[in-house]
Amino acid sequence: MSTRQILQVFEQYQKARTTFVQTVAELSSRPQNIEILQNAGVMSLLRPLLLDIVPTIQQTAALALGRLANYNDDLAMAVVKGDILPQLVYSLAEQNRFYKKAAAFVLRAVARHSPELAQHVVDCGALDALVVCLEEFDPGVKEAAAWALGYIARHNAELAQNVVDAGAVPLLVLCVQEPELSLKRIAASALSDISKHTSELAQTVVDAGAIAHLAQMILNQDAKLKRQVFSALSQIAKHSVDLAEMVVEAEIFPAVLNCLKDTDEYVKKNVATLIREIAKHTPELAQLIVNAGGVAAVVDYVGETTGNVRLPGVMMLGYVAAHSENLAMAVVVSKGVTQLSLTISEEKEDHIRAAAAWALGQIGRHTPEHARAVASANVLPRLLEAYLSTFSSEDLKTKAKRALKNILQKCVYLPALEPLLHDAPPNILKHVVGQFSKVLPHDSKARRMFVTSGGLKKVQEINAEPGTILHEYINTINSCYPEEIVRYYSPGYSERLLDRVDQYAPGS
Amino acid sequence: MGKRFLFSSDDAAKIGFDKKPRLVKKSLSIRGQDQSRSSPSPVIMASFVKLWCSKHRLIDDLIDATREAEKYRDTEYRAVVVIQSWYRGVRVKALIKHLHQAASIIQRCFRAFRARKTYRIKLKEAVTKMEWKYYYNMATIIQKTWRGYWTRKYEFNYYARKKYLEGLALKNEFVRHRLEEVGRKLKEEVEQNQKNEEQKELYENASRLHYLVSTHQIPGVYNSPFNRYPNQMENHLREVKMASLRSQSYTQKNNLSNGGNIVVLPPLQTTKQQGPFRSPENVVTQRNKEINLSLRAETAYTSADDTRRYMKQLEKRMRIQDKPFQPFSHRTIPYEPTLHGSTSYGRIAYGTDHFRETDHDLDKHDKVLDAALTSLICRNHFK
Repeated sequence: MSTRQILQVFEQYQKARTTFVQTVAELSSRPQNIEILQNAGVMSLLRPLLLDIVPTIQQTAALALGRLANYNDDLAMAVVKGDILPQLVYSLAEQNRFYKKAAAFVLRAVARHSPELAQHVVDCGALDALVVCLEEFDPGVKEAAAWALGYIARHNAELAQNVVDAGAVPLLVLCVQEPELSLKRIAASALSDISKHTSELAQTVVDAGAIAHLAQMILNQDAKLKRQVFSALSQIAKHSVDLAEMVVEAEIFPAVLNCLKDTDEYVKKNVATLIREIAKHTPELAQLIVNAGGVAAVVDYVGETTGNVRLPGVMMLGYVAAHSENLAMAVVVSKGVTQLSLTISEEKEDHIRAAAAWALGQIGRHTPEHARAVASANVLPRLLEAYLSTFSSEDLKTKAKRALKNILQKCVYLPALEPLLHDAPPNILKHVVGQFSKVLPHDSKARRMFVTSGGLKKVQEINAEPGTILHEYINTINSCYPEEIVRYYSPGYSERLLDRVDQYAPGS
Repeated sequence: MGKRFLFSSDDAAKIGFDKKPRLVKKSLSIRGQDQSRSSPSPVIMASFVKLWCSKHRLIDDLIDATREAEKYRDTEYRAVVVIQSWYRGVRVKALIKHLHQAASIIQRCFRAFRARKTYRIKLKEAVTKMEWKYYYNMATIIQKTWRGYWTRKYEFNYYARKKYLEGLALKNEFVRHRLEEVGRKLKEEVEQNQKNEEQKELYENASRLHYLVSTHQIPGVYNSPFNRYPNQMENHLREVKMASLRSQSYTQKNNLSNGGNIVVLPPLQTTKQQGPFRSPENVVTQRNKEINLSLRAETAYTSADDTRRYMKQLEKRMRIQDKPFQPFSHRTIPYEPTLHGSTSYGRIAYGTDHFRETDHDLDKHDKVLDAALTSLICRNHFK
């Protein structure tokens, strides 16, 4: 046998391996093939190929494994059980950049499913290797490593703390400053994932100087990058006043509002979330947003969007209004009430309606003026309907009830209260009648109106137990009117009159 | 009664003759005129004699007078009593009036004094009251101002809030306007991009289908002779260039970073080209490959000599002085001693035997000074 013939065998073997790995990688990119591949024992076959002498085969094997692990957590668990991760981690430090990318992909695919799997990845010592990869020159490798780190940190505070302890944050901040858009995106996302858990983690991210770099990218053209940037900023700002102030100090404010008009839904949502997270902390921060015209922008945003995207805007209005009466008035002036009442009537999902009801309650609870503004936007019947509807969730019911109570206790705008007399249940009616009993003794015009509009009649028809607060209120109202009028409007007065006609004997 | 009266009138005459005149005089003296106190004079004595002589007549007169007096005595007595009582009444009344007046003066003064005192006190009180009232008013103004200021500053300022809310409404309007503009621009941009994409796609299709364009002789599929006008596509086909048939070289894209799901793998070997050809990629790669010579092959054969020559040239070009500097050890010129040191007459004993030669005789001649100072000498001469 000649040398050529002998070498041919090897060549054939190599070719076969390459073909196998490439085909498996190709097949595993389709979800319907994966079960068959798994049943065929693809795991155990791919594992030795990770240690192949040909780099291409190694990489493609890693790619195939990554795709399999990406599919579901069972397969990811199988990768963990197959002791593949230590190999990958070991070779992460040794091999070329393509391999590093593929290995980081596998780690990411494993870690993304659950905290346990991510913990397994961490236990293999992957963090240090990934952090080393962040220092690589190639942006692709950095990106893959940042992505894997982000997926590990996303699950819980402990894992995120591990990532921080491995020294990833300064390197991620450096990655954010790289020119490649995709790398920026993923680094921002990883920072967001790290900072979302606790204020300490967020503080670590802030200490690494992330805010300034993130704030610079607000005006970027790329929508996906903006999504991640706003998400990261809101995750940082949500923890404490200090962090929110740090975010505000990056002078994001008038610029951020422009992004509420972005064409991308998620960018809009994340911006609204960021504004909400900042506004919720203190009246001063809320005031700052109001002064920048943020409330008007958010009101417009609430009007333009629907569904879950609307939710942060609605909550932001509620938070701003909750801080002080001045801010609540600012929301009223910015036409927030009409927008919220529209939201409550046109939204289908209960949690958004509940948020709108809560926000309206926060606006109306301050002074009679606020309550009047809310009541004159025809909010009360809608809240009542949300409260009484059998299809409403418990949360919506409690929120609507509380909002109604808050608004009614301040409301002295009687025309808006009148309709409630007719269809409110007793526990709401108590507050309505209470308001009437407070206003009527001091307002003669209102007394007249109350009679002519049939309110007094309605009040006489209420069956109140003697000794209850409702009964007291009714008595107060009755004492504002002459006795004849009260008797005239009492139910059964005509029969009594007729009885008297029967009993009357003329000339006796 | 009459005797008694006489006796009494005698007694009265003994005691004083001038009872009647005295009465008269007395009545006169009531009016304030009394002249009976003058001492007796001859005239009086004469008048006495005269009177003594007419004693009887006088007695008669006296009796008459007495009788008459007795007649009017009661009336006169009563009149006198009346007069006396009147007079006394007048006096007492005057006294009482005087006393009353004095008392009322005293009372007046005292009351005035007391009233003044009270008035002072009352005035003081009134002034104090007025002052307090004034102070209270002022304090009220201060309190009012301060409370207003305090409330406006720390609690609630209606006008400031009104102003703020108006400003806020303006600002909101402005922000809304700006955001609308931004939104419109973005939308336009997106629409423009979409339009461009569509246009590009259309042109790509057209260039791919360029072979369907009509020729002079044969109408294309988009230019049916049965229609009045050709299809829109026909116009596009005429506008675009035919797509080049040049095969696009395969470049491996590393799309690992794009989520792993859309990774483009190298194509699997499908059908082999017929004939003894290498694959087109291989050929393209080889054609585009740069020549990669070894370092030895890239270097010229004479490079060492060339370099040396070049360095020499460089050195010559950069030289500043023609004669190059030579260090001490490379010296070729022989050593030249000084003139003094090399003379055959030996050295002058300067410094050992003497230092500097001096000729003091030259100083004795002063003609030079004369010549120099002729004008001075002439002046002395003509003096």
